[in-house]
Amino acid sequence: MSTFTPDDLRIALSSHLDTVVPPTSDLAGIRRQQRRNRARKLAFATVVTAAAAAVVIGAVLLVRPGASPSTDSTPDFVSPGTLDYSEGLRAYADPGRVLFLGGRSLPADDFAYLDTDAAATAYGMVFFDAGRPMLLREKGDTEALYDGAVEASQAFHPTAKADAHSADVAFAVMHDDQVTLVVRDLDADRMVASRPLDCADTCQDVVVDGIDHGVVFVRTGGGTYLWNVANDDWTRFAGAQTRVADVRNRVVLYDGSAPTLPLNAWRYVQGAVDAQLTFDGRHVLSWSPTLSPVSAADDPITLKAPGAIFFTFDTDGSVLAATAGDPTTFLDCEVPSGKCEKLGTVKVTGGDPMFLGNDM
Amino acid sequence: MQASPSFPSEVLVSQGTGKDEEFSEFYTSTWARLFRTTYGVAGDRSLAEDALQSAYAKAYGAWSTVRATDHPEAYVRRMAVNEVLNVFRRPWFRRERPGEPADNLPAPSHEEATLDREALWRAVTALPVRQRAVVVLRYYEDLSEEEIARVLGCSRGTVKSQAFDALRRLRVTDPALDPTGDVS
Repeated sequence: MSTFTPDDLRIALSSHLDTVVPPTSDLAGIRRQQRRNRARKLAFATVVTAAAAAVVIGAVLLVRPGASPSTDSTPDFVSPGTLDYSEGLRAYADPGRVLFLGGRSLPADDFAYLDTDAAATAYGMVFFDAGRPMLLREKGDTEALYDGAVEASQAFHPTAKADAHSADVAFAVMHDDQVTLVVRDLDADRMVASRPLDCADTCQDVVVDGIDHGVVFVRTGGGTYLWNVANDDWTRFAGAQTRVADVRNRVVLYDGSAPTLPLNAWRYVQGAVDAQLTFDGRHVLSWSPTLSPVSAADDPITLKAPGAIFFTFDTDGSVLAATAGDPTTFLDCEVPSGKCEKLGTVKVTGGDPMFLGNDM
Repeated sequence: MQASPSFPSEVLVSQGTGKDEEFSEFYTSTWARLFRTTYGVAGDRSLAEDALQSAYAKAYGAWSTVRATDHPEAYVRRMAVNEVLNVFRRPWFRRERPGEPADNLPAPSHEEATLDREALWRAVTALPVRQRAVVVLRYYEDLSEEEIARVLGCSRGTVKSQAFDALRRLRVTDPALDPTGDVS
């Protein structure tokens, strides 16, 4: 080989890669694959303990396509049995085969019980049933978190977010083309506040991106807004080019443009859209066993999880990790020590391992 | 709680094109470029196509989220590159990885140059996949160390060390390259 410089390396790569003829684009194939992904997630994101329970749940919980009439009733849910949330929900799954929740291993089934809009909270899994937020508690019982009229829409995915420093969970419901934001105290089992929004034809873009210290971060088609629950203030926080990835302990992790609203005593940190903050807001978890410090004064946290490539936070602030390879090992790692406990080893056959209630 | 406050007027403006049309436009404008990058990392057309298709499918499923970012293309690139890296980690792939069919190789360059680009390209393809990703993202995509770290989900220091080691390996065949000269 003759002498080369970094610029020659650039030229060599360009001269090769720029001449590569891409395969024919297959947008229809991508849409098909996305539908398969969606169907697969819907299929395994379900908690049942017995075939009889599955039959009952299956009869009442199928996802209803398109908008459905308003309803004040909620279906009956069969209990999966008593769960153990004392060390976090520890919710993970082998897609299509089995899921693990609160210390139990449960058969997966094709119900819309827990889908990608579900949110793991310290008080249980919050999920949406035909647009109505529900909570699967530790005792195995399921309750509606909102009693008013709601309607389901396939295009409306407001999600639910839990405050790591309180028992509050924030979510949104839709009825008559109006969105209502709600904060509910899961410990006291009462509604803390609600706020109807007249969002006209943009309601389907409303997403709850986070809640921290009584401030709810709400994304709309036009930007991100803050709802201060204590005084019902509604303030524009950032434009449409900003995406709030996570909010913990008055630290806002965002992607895109910096937020336009300065907040006293709050800190803004730029990161990937699917990155997450530790509950104390001091480190960022992003596709790596090494958690980057927000402040230069802190050291990185390295999880003792060799081979792990999938990560998320559990509801107790620890990190759930999963290794690549066959079989997959699931771990629960303490923060900040990085010490990991093996939860189980699973021969994953349904695709990448998944953490329930923490999908982006 | 109280009365029904409204969004500011800009929120009430129609969002324009629908999801499908908007995603289709994004897909059409980015597919070729992202395929070449993914191929550069994977070194295999089929693997690159599968990884990229999977990344686009995920982006399509989360389009309302992805489109709100400054760089949706960066999101898809990150998903595709990590998909490739995940495949390389799997034992069956390491055992059974097929060779590149000759008729799928890129067309050779016909430029006259003192640089043996073919040999340099082959040296790049012989790098470990993670180092190859760093090289392609740095020298083909012109990403910064910080941007590469974000793509690969590692620290900037890891990117630096991976780049250093990659250039060191390339330098084995050509000591003239200074590996510290243009990494950052």
